[in-house]
Amino acid sequence: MDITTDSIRAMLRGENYIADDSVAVTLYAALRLSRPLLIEGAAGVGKTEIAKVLSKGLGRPLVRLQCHEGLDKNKALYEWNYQKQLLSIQAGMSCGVSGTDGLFTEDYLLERPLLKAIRSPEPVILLIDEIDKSDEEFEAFLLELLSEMQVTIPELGTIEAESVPFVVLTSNNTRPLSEALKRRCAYLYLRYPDVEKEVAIIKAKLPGVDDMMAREVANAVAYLRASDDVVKKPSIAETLDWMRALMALGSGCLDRENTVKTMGFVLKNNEDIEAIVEDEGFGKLLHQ
Amino acid sequence: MESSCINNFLTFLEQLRSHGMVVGVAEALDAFRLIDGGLLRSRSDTRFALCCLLAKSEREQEIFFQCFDEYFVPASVSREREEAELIERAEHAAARVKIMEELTFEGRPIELSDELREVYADMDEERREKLKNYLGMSTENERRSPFTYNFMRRILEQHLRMEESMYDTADDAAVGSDSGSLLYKDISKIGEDEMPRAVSLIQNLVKQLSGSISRAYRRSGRRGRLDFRATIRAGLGTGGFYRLKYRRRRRSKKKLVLLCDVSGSMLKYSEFAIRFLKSMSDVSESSRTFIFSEDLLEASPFVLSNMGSFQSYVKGSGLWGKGTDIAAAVDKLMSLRPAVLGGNAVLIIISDTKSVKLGEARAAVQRAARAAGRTIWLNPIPERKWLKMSSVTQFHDLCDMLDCSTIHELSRACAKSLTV
Repeated sequence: MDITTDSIRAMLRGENYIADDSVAVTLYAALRLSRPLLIEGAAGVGKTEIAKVLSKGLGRPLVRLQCHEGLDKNKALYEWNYQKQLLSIQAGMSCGVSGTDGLFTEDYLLERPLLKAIRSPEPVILLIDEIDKSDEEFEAFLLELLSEMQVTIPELGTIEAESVPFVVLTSNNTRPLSEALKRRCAYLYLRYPDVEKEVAIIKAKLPGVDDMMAREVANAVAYLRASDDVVKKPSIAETLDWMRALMALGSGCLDRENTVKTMGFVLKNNEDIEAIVEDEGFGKLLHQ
Repeated sequence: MESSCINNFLTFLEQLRSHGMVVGVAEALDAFRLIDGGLLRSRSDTRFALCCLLAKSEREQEIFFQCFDEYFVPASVSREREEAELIERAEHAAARVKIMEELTFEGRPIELSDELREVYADMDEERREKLKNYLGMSTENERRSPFTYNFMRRILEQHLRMEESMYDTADDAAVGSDSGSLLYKDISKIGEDEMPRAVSLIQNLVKQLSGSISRAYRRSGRRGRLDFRATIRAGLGTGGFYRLKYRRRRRSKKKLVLLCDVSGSMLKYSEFAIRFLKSMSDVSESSRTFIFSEDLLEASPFVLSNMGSFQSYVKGSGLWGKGTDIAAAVDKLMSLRPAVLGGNAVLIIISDTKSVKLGEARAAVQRAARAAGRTIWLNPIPERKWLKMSSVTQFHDLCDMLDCSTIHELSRACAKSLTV
């Protein structure tokens, strides 16, 4: 596939990912320059989805590394198969052969996501999800991979990428990332969609939904996101869940009764729900 | 790429750097590759593509878009802007000359340096009107006229200093959104890298506030009793023409008692509030500062005079990172001997009102409020949220509760607590 801004736009549309021009152009620039792409934004704005869409649209396998506290290179890059090594040593001893020669070879190597992405013969999309949840040491460890597209395993040496993976890193901004990491990446900041875009997303993801209903739900969700009383802002996925729930109840419009019943799909915090149910401004958005 | 284009682009990069963005050589080369390859078809595509390569945070993106939109404009728009700018500049210059000519006293122009005249011209309408009124009142007033020149100069110089200090502190935040301005930023969101600027901003605000507080005191000082002896003595010198003399009222300064919550997120608010209140200590005879979370501790004077080490002191005190027990803290404060609170004491509590055992906390604060002359609560939660918080309603009626969620609010709250 020849990559142009138009082809990226078409690909995003084809995968039902509603995005503005900034997303398409950023993806294009990052792909053209083979730069890792760092996507920041609040939870639920569609950061991870971009990697999935790219994987499908470009026809490349998706390799995902979910970051968390305490993640180290044994879980992210490689690990030696100790059980197999022990068995091998015992088998060797029974044959009268001792020593550790040949124990640190490919046969005993367990690939983890990063190594899998680097050694894949076909280019993959490597999703390093929620990098801000990992420790700073791990972030520093990633620098070699992101800048040189290679990793170093002490026993085997440096392994260069057979095909350059396209790396997508996502962050919820729970902690600031290092300048070194940011410098190596193209950067995209995703905001919650505006009402028009959210309507388009609802219609794309839930074909057959009523236009007016979609707009009312999008308006209500925009209100919830802007409200100071709501601590946990609803994500796009929660908007879709809410829409599905309302449709399942047979609502033709956003009426108070069904809204209150289904509030749990869009707000995940009891204080938020209580505050919003009593909120006059929100009440005006509902049909009595 | 033509050398003029390269120079143009490099100047743009310099502009980004001058606004605080870190643009490395590698990123600049990437941007060159994209532009040089002719891969970007429209201005909009170029704008987004360069942004993703050069700006690495939401704030940097805002700066980038502003710089890009100002720098890369079509030639026709640029010409229009230049023409409009020239006209505006000429109009502005004419208006300034007219304004500067207003500055006369008894029909003659007041002799001021060009710089101070410029300051006068830059003042807003309201301030200029006040000064003109003062000049009008001073005309044909023998007592005031000798001081008019010095007064005018002082006012204008003060204004100049204020502008300079505001410019220094707001310099880095000049580009970007208003939300970037430290003055109005939620204190909890002020990052470590912004702390030096925040401290400098507080120092500037304190200078301005100290002036206004001492003026407020002078204005509110009423005459004392008649000083008979001084009246007679003054009368002897004038051959029996008596002008009444009064005793000066003794001004008793307040005693401040600061009770600062330092549990977790409250630490930064408490630090900033202490910086304000300690710096304005000239209005207070003596003050004592206590920090608390589950327990209460009097802050060491050394730390209070070296506020740079305040956070590490609190973190080492064992109070940081624990829950908040206002009841225990206030009870311990009340049990101290000799008594800390009294009729002349102003108790200032700096806390977000969140505490365990709210009922007991309310009773304890009520006792303390009765013992103190006045109780003020500086609350970092914005005022618009108070009604929805049960913990705030527990204490709201017991004291004067003031919003201090931003440095701006905090400075207003501190000034109010010390002057009213």
